[in-house]
Amino acid sequence: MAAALAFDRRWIYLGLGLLITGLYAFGSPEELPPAAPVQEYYDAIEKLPEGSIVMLSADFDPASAAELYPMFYGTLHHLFRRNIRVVGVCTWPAAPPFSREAFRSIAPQYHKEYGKDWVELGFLVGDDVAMGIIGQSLRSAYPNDALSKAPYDSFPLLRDVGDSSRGIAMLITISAGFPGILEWIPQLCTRYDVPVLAGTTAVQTPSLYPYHPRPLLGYLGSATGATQYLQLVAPGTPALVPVREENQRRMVAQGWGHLYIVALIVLGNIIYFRSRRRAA
Amino acid sequence: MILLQQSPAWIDLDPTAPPDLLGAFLICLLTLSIFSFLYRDNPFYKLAEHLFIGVSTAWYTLEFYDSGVKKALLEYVPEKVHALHDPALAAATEMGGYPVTPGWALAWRMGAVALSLMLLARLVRRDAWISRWPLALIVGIYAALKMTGETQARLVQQIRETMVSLWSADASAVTIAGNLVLVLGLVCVLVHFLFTFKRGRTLAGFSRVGVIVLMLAFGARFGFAVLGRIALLIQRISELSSYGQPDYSMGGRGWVATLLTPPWLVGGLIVLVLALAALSRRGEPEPPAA
Amino acid sequence: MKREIPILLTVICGLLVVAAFFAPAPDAARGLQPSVWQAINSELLEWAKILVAVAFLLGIANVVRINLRQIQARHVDRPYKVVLLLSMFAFLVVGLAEMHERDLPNGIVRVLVPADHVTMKDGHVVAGWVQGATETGIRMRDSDGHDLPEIPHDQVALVSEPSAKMWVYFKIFAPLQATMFSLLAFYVASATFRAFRARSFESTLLLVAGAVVMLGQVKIGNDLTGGMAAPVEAFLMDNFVKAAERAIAIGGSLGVLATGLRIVLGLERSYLSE
Repeated sequence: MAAALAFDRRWIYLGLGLLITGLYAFGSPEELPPAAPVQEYYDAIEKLPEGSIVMLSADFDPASAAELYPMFYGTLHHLFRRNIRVVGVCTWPAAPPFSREAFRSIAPQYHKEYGKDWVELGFLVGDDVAMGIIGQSLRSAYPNDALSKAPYDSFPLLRDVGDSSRGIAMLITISAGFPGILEWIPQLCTRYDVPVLAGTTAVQTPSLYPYHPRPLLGYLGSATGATQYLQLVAPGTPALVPVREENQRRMVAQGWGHLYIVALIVLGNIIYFRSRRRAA
Repeated sequence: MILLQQSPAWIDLDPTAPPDLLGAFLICLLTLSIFSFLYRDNPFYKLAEHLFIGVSTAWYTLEFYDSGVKKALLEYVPEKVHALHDPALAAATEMGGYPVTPGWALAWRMGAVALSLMLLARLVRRDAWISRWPLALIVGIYAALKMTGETQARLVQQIRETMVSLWSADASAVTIAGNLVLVLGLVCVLVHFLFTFKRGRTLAGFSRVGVIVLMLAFGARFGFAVLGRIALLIQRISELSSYGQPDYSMGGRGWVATLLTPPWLVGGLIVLVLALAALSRRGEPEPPAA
Repeated sequence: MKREIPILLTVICGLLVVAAFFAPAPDAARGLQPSVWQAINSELLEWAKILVAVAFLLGIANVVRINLRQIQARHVDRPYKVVLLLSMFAFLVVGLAEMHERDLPNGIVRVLVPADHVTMKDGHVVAGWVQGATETGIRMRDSDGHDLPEIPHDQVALVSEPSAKMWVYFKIFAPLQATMFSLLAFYVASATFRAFRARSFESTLLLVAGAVVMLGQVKIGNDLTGGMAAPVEAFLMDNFVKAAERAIAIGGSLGVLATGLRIVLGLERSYLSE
């Protein structure tokens, strides 16, 4: 058994690498049935009245962008398509470029005007403290915006938000860890009664279960949730079709990757039990 | 997410432009250098690792400086000084929505300036006593914020969400079973973490059920962790393959054009160098793999 | 004094933040205006925010100190430490220049900050440095530092604002960080084969739960199990996992409450290295 398990682990790496690469290269997109929380996430945005103001928080970095950026991208398309006004904030220092890229590429497609339909406020340092400041007074948190550095009250959208978070109809956070949804809930959602939706990484998804369905109305968990959501949003949004297909293609490789890991668990245990029987 | 619509330039600093060739080569080189660590530690990986530390430290410094120092101090203080002489600005001065005079706003912010200077005393002496004052303030504020928020959102609300009806007239058997599992499982896990009572048979029984529930939860966490890690790997492969498009090729046609794209050229170079190094090391004992 | 004042600071600031939690929250609809409690709370949170940022800036001094020491000691990885410091300082210089573009002298801006380009609808391109936008147009400065006439928004076809900082972010920082974390996929596979053993009933449960989740989350896993994996996974997550996570959240919050009370009442002093 020692010999069987002591073989070079780089063969396991190679096997995984070749499997994922091959299946990504030759796989074709597959439809996934949406899970209930994903459908609730979609429905919650669909139910928002036109002209509502939503705070969209980018709380991730490049390490988690693989799972989260498709969620952020799809959500922004969805919000603009529904004529929801969006205030963009970030509590992770590595998030602003992703947020900026998404807003810059998506807003013009819907002829959305900066200052009236969307505003980017940027990164605020402090984790929980930043969320506490935002919850109490968005104007105190962001005296100026991130793009043009103009004062808060010079934007019609922010004048409509007003001072406190009561002007925000909903918080949507795409979060990778700390700080994220688990900090937004105490600092903003339960304290100031702001409804919340979340998109999160696979690692954090189990932690969301206690908060669903209250205060968390719906959520997208992991790359699976992202793909299921894109399937719901893409019809009626041509720009999202290639993004949806790319994610569906990735899920094929994902599935075989899982089978590989399960096979490794089974194989490792078979070798272990056989060697134990031999030793006995 | 940017779809290629025109041939890429060699270098383009415009973030809205398609990825440039130099950028493509750099991304492929850095990505494959990190992956080369799976074979063994090597200079490609070390270079990429140290470059990452340097660039990421600088990025986080820039963002923290911008949000916490430049906006909160370097722009705020001159703005309030200006407001001292401008009635319109003075009327708009507020702290947390509460109107204050610019003088008060400045005075309060000077407190932050003083505490920041005390914190910087650590540059001179790591255990400078005066640097404990700002740390004490941070600890007190974070403790208070966490305490109130956690109690409301996790303690009170979670208990409230648990104390709901276990069944209703139209609930299915599976739903009722699930609700029972939820409540009993929760109680058993909480009992497992009770260490202030002596464990008799009853308590031990509840605790054992709690352990079973915890093991199922940790197993689920492991499953999701695998999902997340593989998703990251697939995204890297996806990005590498996007730079293997003909638009990024250095020339040729068909499979030759594909081989002359950044991922293949860079990958070939790394494999060649590592192979030559391995050949030159033949006969030496192998160090432990990654 | 050296010990008492920090404890007093902790207690006072902590109690003020707790008191603000219980003060009435402003609500324009009900005519509740922000009170002095909101003012104090807001400013204390701002102080904490600023101090966190300054503390991070201290960290960079530490990074420089450690690496310089290793360079001087002729560490075997000395060339890489040089790369680390050079890349860090180069990026800092470029980033700070872009951040303070409006405050720096022209000569420095011309060298360190790439020029912006505004393409007009009639085809011609205006090069310079965008200073900002008003409701009517875009304000730009030319290479000599003189303000150009404001360009009305309705005459603008495209604004291109190149950024070396963003280029480095997307071409160096982002791929490096993403790839570093993607290595974990390989380590998980290796650890799964070498270490995950069903040695006991509990560990078997853990492995089975993990396998159920892995199979239930993907189409092929669900298909191979005859459609059973997904509903079983859903039941597992909605009930067992929810119970455990909720219990952990409740238990954790009790711990945070107890520790927070000790800190805010001045009973906990370990953070002062005592």
